[in-house]
Parts: sequence; C-alpha cells; structure tokens
Amino acid sequence: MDIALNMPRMNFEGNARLVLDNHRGLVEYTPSHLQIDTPAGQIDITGKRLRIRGISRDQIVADGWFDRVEFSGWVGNATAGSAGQEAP
Amino acid sequence: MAGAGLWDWLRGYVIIRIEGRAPARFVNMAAAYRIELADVTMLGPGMMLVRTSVDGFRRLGPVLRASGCRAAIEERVGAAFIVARLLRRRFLVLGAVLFLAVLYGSSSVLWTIEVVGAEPPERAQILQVLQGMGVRRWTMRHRVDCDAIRREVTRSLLQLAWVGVELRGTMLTVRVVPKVAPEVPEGPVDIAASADAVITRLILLAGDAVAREGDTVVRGQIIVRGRAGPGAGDRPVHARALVQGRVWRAGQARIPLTIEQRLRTGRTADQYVLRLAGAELHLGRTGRFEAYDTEQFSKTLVPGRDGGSLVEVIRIRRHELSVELIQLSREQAYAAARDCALSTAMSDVPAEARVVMISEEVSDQSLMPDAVDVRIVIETLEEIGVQQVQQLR
Repeated sequence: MDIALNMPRMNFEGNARLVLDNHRGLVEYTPSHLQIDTPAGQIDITGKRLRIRGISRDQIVADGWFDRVEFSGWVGNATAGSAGQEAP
Repeated sequence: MAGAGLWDWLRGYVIIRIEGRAPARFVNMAAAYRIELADVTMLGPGMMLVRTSVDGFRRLGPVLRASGCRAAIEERVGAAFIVARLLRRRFLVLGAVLFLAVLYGSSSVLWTIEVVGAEPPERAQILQVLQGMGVRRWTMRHRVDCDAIRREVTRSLLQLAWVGVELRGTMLTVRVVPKVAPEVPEGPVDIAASADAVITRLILLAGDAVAREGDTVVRGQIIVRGRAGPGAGDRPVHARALVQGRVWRAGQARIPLTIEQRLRTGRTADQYVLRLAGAELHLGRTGRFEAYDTEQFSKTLVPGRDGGSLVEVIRIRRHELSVELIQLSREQAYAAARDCALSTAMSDVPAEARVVMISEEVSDQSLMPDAVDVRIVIETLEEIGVQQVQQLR
C-alpha cells in the first residue's frame, strides 16, 4: 500500500538496523554518514560503523549504530509529482 | 538480502572491490539494473567491497562503464566454484566417481553367508538349498528374498524346528534350531526310588507294583517293575507311576567357642617371577610377613608350541594377615552352627519338595564344653519315583 502511494516505508530494529522499502538510491555513504533519497525526501543517518547489508531496486537494508536520523526536504504530499519515477 | 546463507553458498558468490570517483552512483545504478548487492563496505574514499552473485557480477559491465568505476574480484566463495575447480581436475573426479561406484557395487552384493545353529551336515544342506535358489556369494542383495529362503529351508529340511533369515548389510545369516525328540529309553523301564524314603502315596499307571504305601525303600530300590502284570501276559512295559514319599535329610556342624580370625592388614608385597623355558628368575620382595595369603596373576609374553608359555611373567601378591583369637558365646556359636547345618541339609532338598518338619539336636554343654554341635534333620514330602532302564537278568 505504501509503495502504491509511492511513500517510503521504514522499519527500524532499535537503533541498529533499518529496512527501507521504496527508495531512490544512495546520496552519500560513509561509515559515519548515510544519506538515502526517497520519493518523499531524504533520510540522513549519522552514527558509527554504518554498513549497507544489502541493496536492491526496491529495498535497502542498513545496520550499524544509529545516533541520529533526520528527514530533510520532505514535502507535505509525497505522492504528488513523484509517482512512477525510477531510481537514477 | 541479509548475510550469505546456504543457498548463496551453493550458488556461489564473489566479493569484489570497487574503485572509482562515485561508488554511491555505482551502487544506485546496480540497483536500477536489478543487480542485488550485499555487504557494501566502505574501505576509504572511492573504494568499497561488495558481495554479489555470479550472475550479478556478469551483468556489472554496463554499470561499471556508466559509473566510471573499476571492479576487481577479491574472493570467489561457494559450491559452484569448488565444483568448477574439481571439474578441472579430471582424474580426481574420475577417481571419486570410480570410488563411489566400487563402494556402491561392493555393498550391493552378498559377501558372507552364515549358518548359525546347524551341525556340519545340515549346514551343507542349507547351503545347497540356498544355491538352488540362486543365493550364493556375490549375489545381488536385491535378489535375496528372506521370506522365500525361510520357507524353502523349512520345507526342505524337516529336521529343523525353526528357521530365521536375516539380511544385514552384506551378510546373510540363516539361524536354525533343530528339532529335539524326547528321549525315550529303549526296552522295559522300572520305577525306582530316588532317595531313602517311606512311601506315602503310590498311584500306579502302568507296570507291576512291588512296594506298597507305608513301605520303607532305599535309594535305587525298584518300586514298580516294568512288566504288564500277572493277568496281562507278563510282557515288558514302560512302568509309569506317581510315587510320593517321606524323606529325611540331615546336616551337622560344629563351631568351637574359640576361633581364629584372619584379617588382611592392608600391607602387601609384590614378587615377580620371570619364567623362561623352565628357568625362573625371582624379582621383588616377599614382605617377610608372619601370616599372609597370596594372589597370583600370570601373563604369557611368548606362547609355546604346546599351548603353554615359553616366556611368562607371574606376579605374586602377598597380603599380610593379622591373626586374632575370638571368644564366642554359646549362643553365637549355636547360631552359626545351626545356620551351617541347615544349609548343609537344605542343599540336597529338591526345589519341588515340601518341607514337613525341621528338627534339631544340640550337643550338651557338659559333654562338649569347648564347642557347640548342631544336627538338623529336615523331613520332606516329595516325588521319589524315577524311571530306570531294566537291568538284563
């Protein structure tokens, strides 16, 4: 349902693991900073020993020690103008 | 998408190092091309390690070109690569296949046929029956029908009471139990007394009774003669009768009031004797105990031709004993003597005998002041008739 609405779906397991569905790719990736683009905006994760455990067209699984999660550039209606866009 | 599992290992995967100006772009493009990447680890600026399937690695070319990155294989992991390496070593594969074929072939045939419980002539007959059924060494196991063998052996050898056939691994075991015919003595048979007794009951089934109820008989005395009797032509028969008699058995024991008790002190001395072709070499110490008992263990190092020992080592262990004189009361001596006499008397009583009375006699203190003497007499009712082949007269 979330993917049909073109909204990212995030599933955190504590502050150690994130499963993110419906992403639009990595923007930046270092062991201390992970920036992921989604149809609704960007997600910034800062922490330690960050690692991409797996990445496919629809899903990213990341783990490590998450200190802070920020949402930047999110629009009020995320479905507007973003449906049907492909990852770069 | 998590860590490498069994399925990933079976299919095989590669760990590759990606170098370039925009590794994140490489990851995004690989995802867009539906190439799954796992364990993406940054090693430094512009350098990372990723894990992907063999198929994914083959399709990485356009992604690398478009992202301006280079890839180098760090490690190949999984069964697919192991198989590929093995397939390059043809003789190894050939040897393994040959080994498996020989192992399978050799475990599919009968190696041993064992016949248990049969005498040599019967054993030969059983093997002959098996051969007739096509069961011999090197016969394929799937051709062996245990039920059919059991039926055929039972049918062919009438002297067998039971036949069991078991196929375990490469061994066929035929277990047989021969019929045992009851032993019937030849010629006329008498009934004789098995013990000195007074006959209390006599039920005659066949033969001619020569003793009556109330008679005293001694062991071996004929009670029923093996003949048909005066009115039936006096022909020889197998005498049969139920003969019950009253039997007395005695046991006696004497226990002195002063007895010697010998107990091991715990001190031991080992002596070794090396026996070499009749000559003996003594080693170790004897202990020089005043009183001792010995235990002896021997070990044959070189067996001789006659079944004896050519070279033998014997260990003699001496246990020191302390000897004490113990004074018993008359009651203690009586109890010990009674137990001893009773067990002596009971040792001859048959299991099926019924004990009617136990009487005892104890020695008089004035006649025997240093010991207690007890005599036990057990009276039983029991079957005293035993069959006995008639002696030729």
